Amino acid sequence: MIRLGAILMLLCSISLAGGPELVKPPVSGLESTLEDVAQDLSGGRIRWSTHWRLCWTQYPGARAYELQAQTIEGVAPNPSRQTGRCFRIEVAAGENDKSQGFFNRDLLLTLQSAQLAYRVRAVLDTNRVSEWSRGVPAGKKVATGSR
Amino acid sequence: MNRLRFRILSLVLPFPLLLGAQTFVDPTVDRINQANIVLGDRVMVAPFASLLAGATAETSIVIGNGSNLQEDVTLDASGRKVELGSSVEVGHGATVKSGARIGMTGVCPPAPAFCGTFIGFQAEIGEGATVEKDALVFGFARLAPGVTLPSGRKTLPGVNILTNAQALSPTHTAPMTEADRLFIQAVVSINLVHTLGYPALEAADPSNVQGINYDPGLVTPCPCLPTIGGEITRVPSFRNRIVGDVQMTDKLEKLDQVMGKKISLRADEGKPLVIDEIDEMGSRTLVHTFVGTKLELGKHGTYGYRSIVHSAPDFDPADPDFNLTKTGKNFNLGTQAVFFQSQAGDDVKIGRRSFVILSKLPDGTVIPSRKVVIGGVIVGTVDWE
Repeated sequence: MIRLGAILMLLCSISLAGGPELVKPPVSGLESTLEDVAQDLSGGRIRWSTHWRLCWTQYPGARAYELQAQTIEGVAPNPSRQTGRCFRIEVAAGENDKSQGFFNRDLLLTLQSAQLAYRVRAVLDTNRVSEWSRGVPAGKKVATGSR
Repeated sequence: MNRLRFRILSLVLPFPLLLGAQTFVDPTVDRINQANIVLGDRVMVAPFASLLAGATAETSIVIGNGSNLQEDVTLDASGRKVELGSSVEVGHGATVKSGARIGMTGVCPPAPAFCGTFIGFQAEIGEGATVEKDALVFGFARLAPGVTLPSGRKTLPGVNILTNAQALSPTHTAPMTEADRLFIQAVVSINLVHTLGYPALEAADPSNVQGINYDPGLVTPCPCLPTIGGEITRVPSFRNRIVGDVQMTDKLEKLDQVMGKKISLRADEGKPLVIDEIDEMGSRTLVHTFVGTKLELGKHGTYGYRSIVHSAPDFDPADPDFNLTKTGKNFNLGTQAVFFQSQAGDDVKIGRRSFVILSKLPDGTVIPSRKVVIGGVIVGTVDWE
């Protein structure tokens, strides 16, 4: 019984080793921007949020793109898949007196960019993907090359 | 043969359906009144944490599924029950006092957003304080006794929140964002890997999770042993934990003299962790590498009591050393200070209880005590002792 278990484990380890074929180069032209939205509230207050938008250059033959969150503790296990070449996520928000503007926005963006980044790869066809791009910090405006 | 056995384990273990994640409490964890400590499934309690339950059910500790307590975390239920819900992450050096409740109440964000709770490095959750689900306490922040951080809020680093009004004030907290929830989800998921690896190491040989020893080899390319004074070393009886590919210049005899107690040097996620000659390393110091990163500590380093050095990527696409955390010679890290995903030149001194994040500090930099430093700029203070 123990031997059977060991064989099963080895079989599984072999199947785990067979990932998709990696194609060079990685996705390029990553560029991120920030988009602010504000809403007036009663009593002279505002509610605001800042979204971070990441776009990249079209990859030849790409059927879709995968995004993976990278945190200070490592990469998230499940990449998300999309067909578009841009990704948008809320990275800072607040509600405060209108006279204070977007209170602490820069600090919140800096904190966010220290803890979360995204990398992208192209999905080409069955069992072929591009290499991952370098991570781009969420909350930071970055241009990594021509698009 | 041992090496082969560990290699096979490391290949197989990521397949959780076969072996399954298990709750793991490091043997160094201080457990008082163990009968009153209730742990859920897939809970990880890292080295030198303290679980201080009282003698009755009213002073017990309850921790929910998938939660993770890192090094030197203290849960003190000696006065009143302490409860942690599911998917609660408690960071290195944090303290949770009697009667505190974390991730037990409140509301989750609409699906598919993740619903977790995060407590950062050296934070303190006071007596009877509450951190609801879907909330985040940043490093060095404190909730005073009885205060509630409600769902959907996160603190700023270093703040001392004395009232429920402050817990809602933009001077102390901000709304949680989609990015914060993804961050917590990723951290909780990654730390679940340890509940696969360490139980397997222990099952192979209980002494594998003691003293100077192997890392599980799940997140790193191999299960490795530390190199001490140029020699690959395995000493389960050593009083401190030195785990994985830690490369130390000093010989074991010197380490015995310059290191205090309850110290954890862990290269179980990123490697290598290189430490040149140590002048002094205070008790309960932690040095840890995150996945895919390297850490190099320079010659004649001094590390204060409960100080933390932690590598992490700086995510700067223009930085060729984005995955390296490094210090130069004569680095001096004060008591309870944290040096995180940063680089320091020679003769850099960080004051006690300061929190340095994502910074590149040139030679001779002196950071005063109780400062929050991000990107080399002081952005705030640690508002409490």
